[in-house]
Amino acid sequence: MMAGCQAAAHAINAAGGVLTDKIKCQGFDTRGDPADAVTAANQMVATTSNLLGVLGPSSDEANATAPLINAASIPMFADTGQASFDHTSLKYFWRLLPADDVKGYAMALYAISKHYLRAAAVFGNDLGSQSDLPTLLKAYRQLGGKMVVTQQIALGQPSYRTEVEQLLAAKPQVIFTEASPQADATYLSELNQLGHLVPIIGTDATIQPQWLSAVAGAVGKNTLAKYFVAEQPYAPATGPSWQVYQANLMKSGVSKPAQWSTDSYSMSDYDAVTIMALAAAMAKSTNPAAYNKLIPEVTNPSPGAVIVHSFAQGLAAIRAGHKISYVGAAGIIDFNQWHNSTGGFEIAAYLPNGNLKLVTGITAAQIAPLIK
Amino acid sequence: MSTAWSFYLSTVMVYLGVNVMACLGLNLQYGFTGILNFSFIVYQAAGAYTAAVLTLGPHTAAMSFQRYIGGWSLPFPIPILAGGAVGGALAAAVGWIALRRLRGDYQAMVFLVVSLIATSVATNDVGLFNGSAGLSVIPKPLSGVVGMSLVGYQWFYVGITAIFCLLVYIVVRRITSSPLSRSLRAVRDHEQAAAALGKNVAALRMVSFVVGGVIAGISGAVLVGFISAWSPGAWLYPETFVFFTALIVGGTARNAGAALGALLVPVIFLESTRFLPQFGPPGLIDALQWVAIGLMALVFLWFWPRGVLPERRRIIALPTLRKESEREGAQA
Repeated sequence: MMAGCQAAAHAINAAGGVLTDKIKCQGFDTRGDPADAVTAANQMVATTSNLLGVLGPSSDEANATAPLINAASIPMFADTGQASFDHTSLKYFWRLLPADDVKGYAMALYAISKHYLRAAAVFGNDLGSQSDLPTLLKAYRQLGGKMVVTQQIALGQPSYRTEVEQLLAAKPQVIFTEASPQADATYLSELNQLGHLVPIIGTDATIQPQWLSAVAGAVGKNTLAKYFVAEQPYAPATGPSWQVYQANLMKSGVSKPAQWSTDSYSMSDYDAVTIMALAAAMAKSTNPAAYNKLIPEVTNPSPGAVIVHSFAQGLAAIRAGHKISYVGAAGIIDFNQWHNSTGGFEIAAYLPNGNLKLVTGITAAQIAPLIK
Repeated sequence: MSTAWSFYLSTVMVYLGVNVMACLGLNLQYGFTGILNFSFIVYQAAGAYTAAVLTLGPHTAAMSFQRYIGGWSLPFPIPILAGGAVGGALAAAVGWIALRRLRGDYQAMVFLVVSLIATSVATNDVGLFNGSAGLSVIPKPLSGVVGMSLVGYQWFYVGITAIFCLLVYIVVRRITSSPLSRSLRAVRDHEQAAAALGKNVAALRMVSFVVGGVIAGISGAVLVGFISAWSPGAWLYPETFVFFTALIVGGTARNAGAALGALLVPVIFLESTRFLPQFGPPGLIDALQWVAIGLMALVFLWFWPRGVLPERRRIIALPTLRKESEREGAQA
C-alpha cells in the first residue's frame, strides 16, 4: 500500500503538488479486527490534519470502519473485496479492485480450461482468505468440476501433516489456495515431502512478494515455477500509464521497489492517490467534500475527454479547461453508480528468477454468465 | 472541539464504559472468588453475537453476503439484555463442567481450552455467525428513532453505555457489600475452611461465575451495538489477559480498582500506543503492545501485587480477644 502511495506522492509533488500542497503518505495500523479498527479509524480522522483521502480499509475491518470514514466525509479507496460493498450507498467509498466473490469465478474458469476436474481447496481460516472460497466452490461445481476436499487451515501451525495426508488421499488434480505465507509454505513443503506437488492456482494474495518468497524458500524456486500460477486483477505491466508508475516507483525511495512493479494492488493505490489529486485540482480545493463528487469526472471515459496517463498530464489538461479521463497504471477506470470499477483478470505464472509471466487473461465477459 | 476529536473521544468513552463493565464482571469472578476464568472473553463474545443476530433481522437479499443463525429485529434494549442472558447461560454451562469437581489450576486449563474451542467453532462453522468474516452492518440501537447527527449519536451512545455501566456497578456493589461477598472471599482464601463452615463452595463459585458471565455478555452486547461489527478476530483468547492485567494493575477485589484498571490498561495504555510513529515492519507495534501488556502484569505482580488500589483488609477482633484487650486497657 505504501509503495503505490509513495510512487504517486513522488509524481504529484514533482508536478508541484495538489494546489501547491505536497502529498505525504502516512500508515495507520487498524490491527485487523473490527473492535480495534473503530478506534484506530476515529483516531486517524481526529489526529490527522489535511487528510486528502484514505487507502483502505481492508477486508478485516471494512464493514466497521468504512461508515466512520464516510461520516467524516473523507474519500476512501478500499482494498476490501467484500461483496457487501458491491452496491454500497456510502458516498465517499470507492473501489478499484474486483470484489472477492468474483475472483473465485476466474480461478474456476482457468482450472476447467486446463481440464482439472478434481480439485482441493486449501484456504486459511482468516477473513481475507475465506471470502474467496464460496464463489470458487459454486463456480467450480457449476463448470463441472468436483471439489474432492475443502480445508480451512489454522494459520501459524508448525505442521499440517494431517491435512496434507487427507489431501493426498483425495488425489486432486489441482489445488486452489490462499493462506498466509508461513502457512502455505509449511503446507506445501510437507506436501512436497510426503507426496508430490500438483498444479496450484492461487488467489492474488499468493502473488505478493512475501508469499512467493516464503513458499519458494520452502519448496524451491524451480518446483514452485513448475506448479504455481495465480489470478490477479488484470493490470498489464505495459503502456504509458504503467511506465509513469514504474518511473516514479523507482524514484520514490521505497525499499526494493522492483518487487512492486507488477503488483496490481500497488498500482491501484498509485491510481487512487493520483485520482484524488486530479479531482482536487479540478475542484480547486483540497477539501474532500468538494472534490469527492468529481472523482468519476476525472476517470470515466466520456465523449470529448482528453485521455491522460499521469498527474502532470491531467493537471495540464485541467488548467487548459479540458475534460479528462485518467487511464490508470492498472488500466481504464470506469466507476459504476456504486463507485466500483472492476475489470477482468489475468493468470500469472511464477518464474525461477522471481518474476511473473502473464499466462492468459480472463475477461469480465467470460465471468458474467457465471454470476447469477 | 472539532467534530473529528468529538468522534474520537466519544469512541474512547464507550470503550471505557464497556471495559469497566467487563473488569467489574471479571473482578467478581477472579478478585472476589478466585476463579481464574481465562475464557472471560467468550462470554463477552456470546453477548455480542446474541445482540447482533437479534438486531440484524432475517436473511434477506440485503444481508445475503453473510450467514447467521436466527435473525430478528428486536427493539432496544431487548438484544442487550438477551446478550447478558446468553452470556450467563453459557457461563452456567461451562461452570457446571469446570467448577464442580475441578480445582484452581485445572479450572484455568479448562477455561483456556473453552476459549480456544469457542474461537475455532465460530471461525470454522460459517453458518453460525458467518465464520471468520463475522457479522457486520449491525443496526445501531435507536439510531432511527433519535434522529441525531452522527456525532450526536456517538454521545448519545456514550449515555447508553454509562447507564448500563451504572446498572452493572449497582448490582456488583450490592453483591460485594453483602454477606455473600464474605462467603466468596472465604472460598477464595481458604476453600476447605469455607466448606468446613458449611459453605457450599461449588454453588458460591457458580453464582459468581454466572453473574460475571451475564455482565460480560452485556458488555459485549453494548460494544457490538456501537461498532456494528463482530468477528472472531475481536475476541481471541489474549484479550482476556488484557482484562486480567487491568485487574492486577488497578487492584483486585475492589470495584474502584477494577474501574481504575479498565481506565489505565485497555484505554490509556493501549490507546497511547496508537499515537506512536510507525516503525519497523507492519504489525511490530501491535506485537510489542502484547509484550508490554505481559511485562506490565509481571512487574505489578512482582512489585505491587495488590495493585494501585489494594483490597481493603477487614480485621475484626474476636469478642473474647476484644474483652481481654479492653481489660488490659482499663488496667493500664
